[in-house]
Amino acid sequence: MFNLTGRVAVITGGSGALGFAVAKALHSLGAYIILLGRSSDKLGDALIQIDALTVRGSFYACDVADEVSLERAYAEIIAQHSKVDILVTCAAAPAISGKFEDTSLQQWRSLLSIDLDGVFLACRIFGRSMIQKGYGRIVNLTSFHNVATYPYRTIYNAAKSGVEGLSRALAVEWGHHGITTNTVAPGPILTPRTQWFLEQDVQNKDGMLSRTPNVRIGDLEDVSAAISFLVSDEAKHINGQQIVIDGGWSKNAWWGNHTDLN
Amino acid sequence: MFSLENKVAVVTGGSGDLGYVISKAYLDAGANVILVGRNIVKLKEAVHKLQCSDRSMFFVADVSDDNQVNIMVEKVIEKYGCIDILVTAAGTQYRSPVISFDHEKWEEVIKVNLNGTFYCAQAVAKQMALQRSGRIIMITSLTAEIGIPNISAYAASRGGIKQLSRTLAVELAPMNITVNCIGPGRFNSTMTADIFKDEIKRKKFLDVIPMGRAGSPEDLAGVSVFLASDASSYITGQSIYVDGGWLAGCGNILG
Repeated sequence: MFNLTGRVAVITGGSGALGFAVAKALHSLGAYIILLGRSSDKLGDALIQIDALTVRGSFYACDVADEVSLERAYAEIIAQHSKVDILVTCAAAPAISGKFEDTSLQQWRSLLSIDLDGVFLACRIFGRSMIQKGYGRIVNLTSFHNVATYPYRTIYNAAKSGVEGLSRALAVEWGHHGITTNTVAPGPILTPRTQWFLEQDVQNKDGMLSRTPNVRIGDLEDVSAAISFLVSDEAKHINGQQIVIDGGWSKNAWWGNHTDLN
Repeated sequence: MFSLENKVAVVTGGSGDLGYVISKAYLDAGANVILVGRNIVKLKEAVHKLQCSDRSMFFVADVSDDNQVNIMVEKVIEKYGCIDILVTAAGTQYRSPVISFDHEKWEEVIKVNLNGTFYCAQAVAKQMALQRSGRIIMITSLTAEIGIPNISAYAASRGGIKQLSRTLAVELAPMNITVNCIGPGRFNSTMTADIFKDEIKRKKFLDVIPMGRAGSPEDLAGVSVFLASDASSYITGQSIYVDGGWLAGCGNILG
């Protein structure tokens, strides 16, 4: 079960913390992993850490927001592997937070160009091989902001809601090609974005834990494990779903402290 | 990541289509499995077919009777010392137009599907709270999200189960117990056999599924192992539908 031997997996944002965790998990299940990111040095380091530099792993430096750059990576990958079975989009723009009334169009465009355009381009370009082969697994990273949003994160929420909508539409449009498209929505997971949030104020951690029913901040492995499941053959009839990984946060409307229920 | 080695799993409706496949998947993943059901003949057959006598057994109990459920849970704990996983796959269906829906039938469906799920979850959660760990997986259905005529009791029970799972998820999370639902979409099973007999109904039934086929009970194997394994320890209160994409389009199809 859950074996990925023989599968070719493309991971965008492959040198970021989340992309790295995903690459490591898929590699451990037998997949050939191809990391995409902007910095060759960082991608190379990531592969070395996974022990995949020479075994079932490679990388292509490219910019997910740039169509030409992504097309070039696609052409090289197809020339080398003749297919892409799995796409996981982990690339994300640096966090932006602020009052909506002060948000500039430039900020809006710069975040959307990576978080939304990047997913649009990756799905369209790598999906070509999946359509051709009649098999594909796409997992796009969204956020529990889709379900339980915060104030001051309007652009981010708009981008992630866009990714969710795109994914559901693709699930319906590409299902008959044997391609499933699902999303994974991390909640209070120690991603770089959460790390950044925690650093803004020392009270943010207590605030987060007090809202999380299972009273811990999740690990990157909690996310990579769910993705490993969704890209496996065992998930072949799961399509258009969003799995929220948040320790129960987005279903929680209790006023009390969960440690008191202990 | 996905191993269930040495875990103890109770599967209600264990001799039914879904419960049987889930039981088999758990055995394959290394767990001990207790199949619960009302019909001793079917349970015996199921356990025999599983061909894993050292790690599988059955227990006769009617989940709609809280007393029988409590005894079943006590006996399992007596034998194994713990319960790590509960899957509530026992369920029944009754089709009738709402206007003439028989009240006794309504109560029967609610008793087996909703009360049965609650009784089992309650009795097992008591033990899991002592263990400070556990996984509860309930079976909901697409009918918890969208409307299908003539199954009002079934749909109400599945919607109730979905909401029960969310409440339990939030309440039991501090005890390290996760509670999630699996929601089958349109499946080819005993419950839908009447639809598959009729070619026109069958085509209409399948046309709305983006993946182009009905689900089979085997499609639940992976997700049931995932939700019972360490891989999902931070996922709780979720309903994962196994529907080939039907819900994403709510029946809108290409063309």
